[in-house]
Amino acid sequence: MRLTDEDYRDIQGLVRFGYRHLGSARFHLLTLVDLSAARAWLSEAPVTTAVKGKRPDTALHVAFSYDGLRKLGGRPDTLAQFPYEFKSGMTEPSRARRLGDVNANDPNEWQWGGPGNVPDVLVMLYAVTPQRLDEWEQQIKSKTWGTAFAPLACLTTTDGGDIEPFGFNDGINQPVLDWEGRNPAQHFTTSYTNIAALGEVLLGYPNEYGKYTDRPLVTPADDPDELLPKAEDAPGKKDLGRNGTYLVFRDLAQDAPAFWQFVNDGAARAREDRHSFAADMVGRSPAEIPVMSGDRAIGSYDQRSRTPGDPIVALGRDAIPGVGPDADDIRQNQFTFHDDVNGTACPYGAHIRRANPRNADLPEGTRGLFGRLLRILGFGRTHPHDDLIASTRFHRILRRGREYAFEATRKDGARVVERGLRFMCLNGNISRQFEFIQASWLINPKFEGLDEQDPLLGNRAPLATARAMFTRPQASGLCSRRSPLAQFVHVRGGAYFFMPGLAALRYLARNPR
Amino acid sequence: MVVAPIVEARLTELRTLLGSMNDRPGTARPDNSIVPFGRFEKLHYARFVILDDQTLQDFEEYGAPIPDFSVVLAFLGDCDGPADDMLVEMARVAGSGLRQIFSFCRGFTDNTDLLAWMKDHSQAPAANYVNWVGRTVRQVREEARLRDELVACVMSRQDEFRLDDPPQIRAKLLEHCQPLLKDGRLRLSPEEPTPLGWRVRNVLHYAIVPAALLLPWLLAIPALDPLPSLFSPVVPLFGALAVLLFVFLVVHIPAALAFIVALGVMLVPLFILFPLPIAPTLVVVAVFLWVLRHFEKTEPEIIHRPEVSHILQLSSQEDYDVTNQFNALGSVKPSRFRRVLFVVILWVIDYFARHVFGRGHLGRIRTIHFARWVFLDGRRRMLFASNYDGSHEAYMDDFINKVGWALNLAFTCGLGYPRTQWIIKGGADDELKFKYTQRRHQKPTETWYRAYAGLTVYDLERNARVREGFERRTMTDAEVRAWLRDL
Repeated sequence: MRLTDEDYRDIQGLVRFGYRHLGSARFHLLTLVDLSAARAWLSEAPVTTAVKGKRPDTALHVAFSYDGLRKLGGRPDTLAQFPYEFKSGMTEPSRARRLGDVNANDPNEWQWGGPGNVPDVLVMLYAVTPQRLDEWEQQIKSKTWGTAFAPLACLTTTDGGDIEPFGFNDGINQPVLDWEGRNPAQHFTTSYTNIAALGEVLLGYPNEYGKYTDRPLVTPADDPDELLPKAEDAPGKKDLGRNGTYLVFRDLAQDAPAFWQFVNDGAARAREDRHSFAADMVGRSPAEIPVMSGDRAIGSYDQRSRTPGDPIVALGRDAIPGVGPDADDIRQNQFTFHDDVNGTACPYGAHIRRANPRNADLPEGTRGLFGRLLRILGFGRTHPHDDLIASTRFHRILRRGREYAFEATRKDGARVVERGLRFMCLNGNISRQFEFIQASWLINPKFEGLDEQDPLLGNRAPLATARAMFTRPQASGLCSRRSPLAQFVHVRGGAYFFMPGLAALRYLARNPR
Repeated sequence: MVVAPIVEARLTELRTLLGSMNDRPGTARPDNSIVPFGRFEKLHYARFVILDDQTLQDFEEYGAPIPDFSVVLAFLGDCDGPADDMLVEMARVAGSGLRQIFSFCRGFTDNTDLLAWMKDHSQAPAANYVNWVGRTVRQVREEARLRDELVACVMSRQDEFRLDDPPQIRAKLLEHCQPLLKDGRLRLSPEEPTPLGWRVRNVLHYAIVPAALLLPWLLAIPALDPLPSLFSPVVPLFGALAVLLFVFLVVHIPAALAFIVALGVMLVPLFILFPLPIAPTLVVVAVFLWVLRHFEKTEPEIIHRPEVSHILQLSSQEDYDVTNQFNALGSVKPSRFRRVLFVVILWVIDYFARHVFGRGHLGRIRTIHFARWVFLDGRRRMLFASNYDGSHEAYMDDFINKVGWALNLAFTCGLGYPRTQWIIKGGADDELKFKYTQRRHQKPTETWYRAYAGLTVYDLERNARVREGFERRTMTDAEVRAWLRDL
């Protein structure tokens, strides 16, 4: 499965690069109006590739929703091969319920992506400066753009220096993709790894199971211009998916004042500094603590005991594959929660512990043939929480989100600052990766035996026994709890996109019949 | 489980009737007027499922004639005590509703004796799993109530408790609950004694495997006179080994399993003493493996992606609560070899589920409340039904990643299961093929009842720990801390 230079030229660069140096970005959500104009634009769009070289000062990426692909007019039997979750979309009611998109997150209230409001095409523009972004946009919006597309929404971003609106560093931990295919698929791993098989993100390559995720394959007859690469796992078939990935977009509005009000009150009540209270909710030290009017917190709360972004559990002694050699990365990511089995260093419910529990297939420390056999049969547990959480390596995503902040006028005329995250992630299997993390870990009120949702992302929807609270286990044994927890994050939009390889993009633009 | 063929012309009408019991798609109102499940205090879970197999065309791909299975109605329940007692109570309390439902089944008339009919149509499971044998509905509810009370007390007195040491906190919590226990707002009923008959039957059932392991020794008795020369060095040696192994294993695994392993070790000296039967035994094993591999290699692998409309229907019933229901209906691969193998495998699963895994986990799976495998139509097809925690995707991932080998064992004889090797390899390792197959064979429930919404297996286990600690006379400091952690 070695990647050739041709593959790197085929992969959209966003898969390989986070574009930290491109501080300005804008995302266009578009509806297809004139197909031939759209095809013309798509076949000439200077989409950025994954080839390493001189850092570009701009980047362009294109992705399609299922509606968009259908409008573009691919063959129905080809499109039917896309997975169910992509075809039925983020707002299918059962899925929305599972993802927590109910009540205040109801897709019918979304600014975009809700029923009847799903964009066909997502065009992402990046540049080094706002001026360069404007120029780049002018350049991209060639004469066919206006006839091809109608704008559904244009999402701005701000260069927050990787600090999200609640004041925490974002995107500190990302899985490292195994580009070279060095790690063969394994069974029953016993230690956490930060390396993910390429197929976990890119279609057309083996995933963590050592299998190829299903994606549209076409017969050579359906690819008369021979645009598409061959399918590695299906002799005689061409691969529409190869070098493509699914992009999950969630437009998240963050209520930073409410979050910090909660932290303030909670810290005051618990008589501790709000730095550590906030750090407990996330699992890492905050980078910025806003000073609030009416602060009631006690103690020297702005004293920082840790560098922003550092985890609140102790670092492990052993190296973790895919962490380092960069010293910052080691300081921020060389840890698991294995030694914090009671959650006293980092609460079970802390955001980063939910989003990435950092475990392996078998509980860490399982040794020897007998030990493995015991574990495989479900024996040998030493703690009630032992072996409770699903293995992490099947549930990783590559995050590519950007922060935003802009001034807006509320209905009552007051000027407010709207803040939030244009959350984006890339994965090869939406239901096993993004949806699993969101549904089974983040908003699942029963994660790790708790009765509460993620302290940041929870929708606080009432569920039989769950309470809107945040629980922190204490060394004394008794948990410290703080409630009620308001809803700090509201979903304002979202959709599933397919971000094809460049060859597939040309193929789709060509509209073979 | 009560199963009976439906008058197919009236299928839609029956669906409407069963659907009228629900307040959410697929979930029953506990006090619905047809079968008010909530009134049965010993009932954990119950459901009505219509079993109409939409995958029978797979037989054609297999190269076998398509069987003419009738559409059947299945009524499943998980209860405390004997199933027959539950049927009696159901017939008494919900007789008219049940009559109304079963009147859609062939041969059920106004004059049919409901109870006798239900017993006649009862189908015992080939394998059954209960997460915690002996945990009653009443216990679950009382313990949940106790923990809720303790947690509420902890939350309202956090500031005060911060200054106390753990034993003090525990004393205050116990004190807080005393008046509630006195006036009946909290109740902790003593455990009901296990009926003697059940215990005897259980021990006798357990004895089957140890007896089978001892049988070769019994057969060998005539040959032990005079004692073979190797007897005195070999048998005591292995006897001592078996005892040591048992003592070592029992620390890690249930005694029931350790004992079987130790007895297994005792078969080794028998083969040393009497090497003659080794050859025929090996031949039998080799022939079995050859036949198995032949079938595994030559049977066509029939995998289809489930229809979008089918998934939509199933998922519309899921994730309203932390628990969900699952029914999978399929056919046994049409060969005598597979039918016999399936029966043997399910017997083994049932045996170990009953005697080894009735304490909180099935293998590594800690999210199944109840599960059962039931043969239908003369062992030509099979229903698997379970009640589990979390979303469907998580349930399947749990299966694949934690007990893929056991999944292969349990379903390798099912038509449409991904190809396995040596029974336990392959199969569910092919994640997507497995997910397609199970989803395609899944049947929606018409109505489903759960006695304790919002409680997962983990919750039940933790609440039982809380109660146990609550009733303890003395505790070490470390135990008190561990107890407080559960609040």
